[in-house]
Amino acid sequence: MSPTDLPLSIPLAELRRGETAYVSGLATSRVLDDRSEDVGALLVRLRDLGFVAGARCEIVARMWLGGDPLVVRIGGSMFALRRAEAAAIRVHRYQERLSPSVALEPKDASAAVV
Amino acid sequence: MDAAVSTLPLRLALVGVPNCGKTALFNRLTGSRQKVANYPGVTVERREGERTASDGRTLRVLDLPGTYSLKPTTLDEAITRDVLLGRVADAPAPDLVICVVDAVHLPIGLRLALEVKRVGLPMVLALNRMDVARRRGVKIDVARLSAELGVPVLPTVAVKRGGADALIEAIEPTRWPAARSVVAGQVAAQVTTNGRDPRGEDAEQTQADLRGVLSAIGYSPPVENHWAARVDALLLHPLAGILVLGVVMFLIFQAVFSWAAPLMDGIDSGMAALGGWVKAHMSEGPMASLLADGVIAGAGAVLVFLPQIVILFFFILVLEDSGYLPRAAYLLDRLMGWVGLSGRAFIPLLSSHACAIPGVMATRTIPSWRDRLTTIMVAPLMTCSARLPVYGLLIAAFIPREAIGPFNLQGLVLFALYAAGIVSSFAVAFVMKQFAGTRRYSPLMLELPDFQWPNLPNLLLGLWERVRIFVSRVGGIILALMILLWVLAAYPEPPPGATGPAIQYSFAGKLGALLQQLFEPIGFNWQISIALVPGLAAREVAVGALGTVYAMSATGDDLTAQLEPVIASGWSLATACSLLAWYVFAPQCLSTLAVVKRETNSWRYPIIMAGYLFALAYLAAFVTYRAVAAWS
Amino acid sequence: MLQQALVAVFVLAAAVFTSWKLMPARWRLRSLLGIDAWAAKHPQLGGWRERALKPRIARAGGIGCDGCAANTPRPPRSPR
Repeated sequence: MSPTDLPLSIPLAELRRGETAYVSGLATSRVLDDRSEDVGALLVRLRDLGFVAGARCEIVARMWLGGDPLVVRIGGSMFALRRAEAAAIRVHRYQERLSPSVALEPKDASAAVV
Repeated sequence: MDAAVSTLPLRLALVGVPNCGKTALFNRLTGSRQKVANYPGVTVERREGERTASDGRTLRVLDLPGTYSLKPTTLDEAITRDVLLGRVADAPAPDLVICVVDAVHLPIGLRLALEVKRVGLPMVLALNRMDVARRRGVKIDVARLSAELGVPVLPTVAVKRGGADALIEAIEPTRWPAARSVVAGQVAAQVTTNGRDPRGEDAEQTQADLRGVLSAIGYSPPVENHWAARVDALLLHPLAGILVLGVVMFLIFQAVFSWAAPLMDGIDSGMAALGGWVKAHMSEGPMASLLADGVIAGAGAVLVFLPQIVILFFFILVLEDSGYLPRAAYLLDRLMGWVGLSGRAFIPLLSSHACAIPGVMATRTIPSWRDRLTTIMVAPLMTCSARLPVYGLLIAAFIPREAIGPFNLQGLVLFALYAAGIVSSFAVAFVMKQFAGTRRYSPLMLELPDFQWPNLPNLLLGLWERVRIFVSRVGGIILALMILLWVLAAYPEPPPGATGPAIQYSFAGKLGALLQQLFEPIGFNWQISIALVPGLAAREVAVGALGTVYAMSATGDDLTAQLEPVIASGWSLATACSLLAWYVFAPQCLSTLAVVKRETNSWRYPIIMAGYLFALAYLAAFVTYRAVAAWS
Repeated sequence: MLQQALVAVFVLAAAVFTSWKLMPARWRLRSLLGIDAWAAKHPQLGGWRERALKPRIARAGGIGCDGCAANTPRPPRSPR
């Protein structure tokens, strides 16, 4: 299931400070693919940190000039993420929109293009 | 079998995500019986301690590096995985794993616990910070959790005395069979080897298990801490946050000077009085000179700076304990990214303010080799605590104790010197970035831990350690070098009928005169030139060496003069500023170069480092000397 | 005369101490192993060998911090 199929799924980085949303899944992006050494491991690590489907997250702070890096609260912990890795996290503003089988495998994600 | 095996020490290992209180628990279990070494072949710190069980058996406790997962992204995470799988020589798989989970951040810790459980070693779970969790409204059915996981779960409050008693009881050897689990080796194949999970279902399964356990125990997440959220709104604000950071740093340096001054004066006069007493009461001869000029004037000159170092470290430890540092790293990440440094480099670079060596070793938490190398190469530019005596001496001798508004001038100059170190490190990193080509992206993914009030007993313990280290350094290598310098400065003795101070005829004097030719363009006299030589072993030795050299150059009645006024009257302002500029780069610390060689596994980088530092030092000193001489 | 002898002793001790501390770690390790081999030939030194020599050799196998005391046993760290 590719993220472009999901209605209203936006990258985490597009949220403004103080907004909350619900994680719909992880997906790689062209930017990340080009520049990252190991995208798969990065996505797995993000999931291990708590960015799983259905998790509620909140943007606590954004740096100037585009929110790079930003601080997001998830599962009770706070993490500082750079824009590129934040772009891999897709969220829904409303929990009801999440479809049941929405969690993505890293290997599926590599086929998806943002 | 039991009788023979039961005398062997039992090996325990502490595992957990970073910031879960694992180390505080380690301190509770081992007290002062700990030591720090290294794992074979890699520069990852190995913290091990001991405890005696109630049956007299020794328990060896290993504090493994914190990790978010057994699929490692950095070197120290890899060590944790490898030790658990029994792959590390000299560190066999533990007999018992204590998995530490922060109750306030249960999901992330529990996920790791599930992963660790699959390795198959006997395990107990320490549920830490239960007091905070209760206050924040977290609900955990401990008994149910233990049933779901199939391992004992012990609530702990690591920072309180007696807070780990339940755990201590649970790890008694009588509760655990001596036989080590052989399952570990078999299961090892299932856990990934390079961060990419070959069977995606494994991670999925763990997540599903986690969800199951969390709902079974009736977990509810913590209530938000409003006070902490408000503080974070300020500290993480893109503008206000950076302002706060600057102000905090600035105030620290003000405090270092104003609070330390009276204490330092005390030690200084004490040393001078002692030297005078020795000279007055001992019969004239080499022994008196060795004691007064070598030991007291030499090592004593360095000891004077103990108060400044204590105050500086007090603030560093408070910043570390409070949880502020990762927030500062977040604020500076963008800026550091412009010069080619990772935000993760912030903490190693901050550690380098104590000593570049642990700073260089701390770079192992930086996953990208290029970022790591850049950080290593600029770490010595951070003003390490060994430079503090040199700065302190020169500032005290040449900068008046004036006040500018509420601030003191000396503190301002010290702040400027520290800033110079940081600015030059950014400049060097920027230059390195030009040569590096396109950098591969490396993620930040830095956790910002909860705020915590610094634990006073731990703080005092940390400060005491620092004092102990400083004094043993003075009493050890510095004292030894001063004795050697003294003998080189006292012999050969001047021929009869010679005029001028005796020291000019000695080995040291001759060598100094030789070196001075090299340093003449930057305004160093021969005393400074010779003082830089023992400075190769430790930067602050230059102060001691100056003390000894000047003490032995003193003729007539001036034998008990303190170093500071002698320099103030003897040197020009230009020379002093030139020496300060030299010390911002201070290329001569051999220990740092040795560690860089080990960390980078080649001679190339330490040689490049020594070379560029020397060139910058000479250039900076030259420019400063000429500029100040022309202006004054 | 006594003074000069005492001074010479101190200077010699300082020289040995300094070269020991500033020696590359591999040389130190080799010296320790050499001392260990010599001590093995004298069984009455067995106790000292176990208590003092062997732990030193084990520690010397790691990274060591030539001459910089600021890095040996780190203070018990923060409550995290």
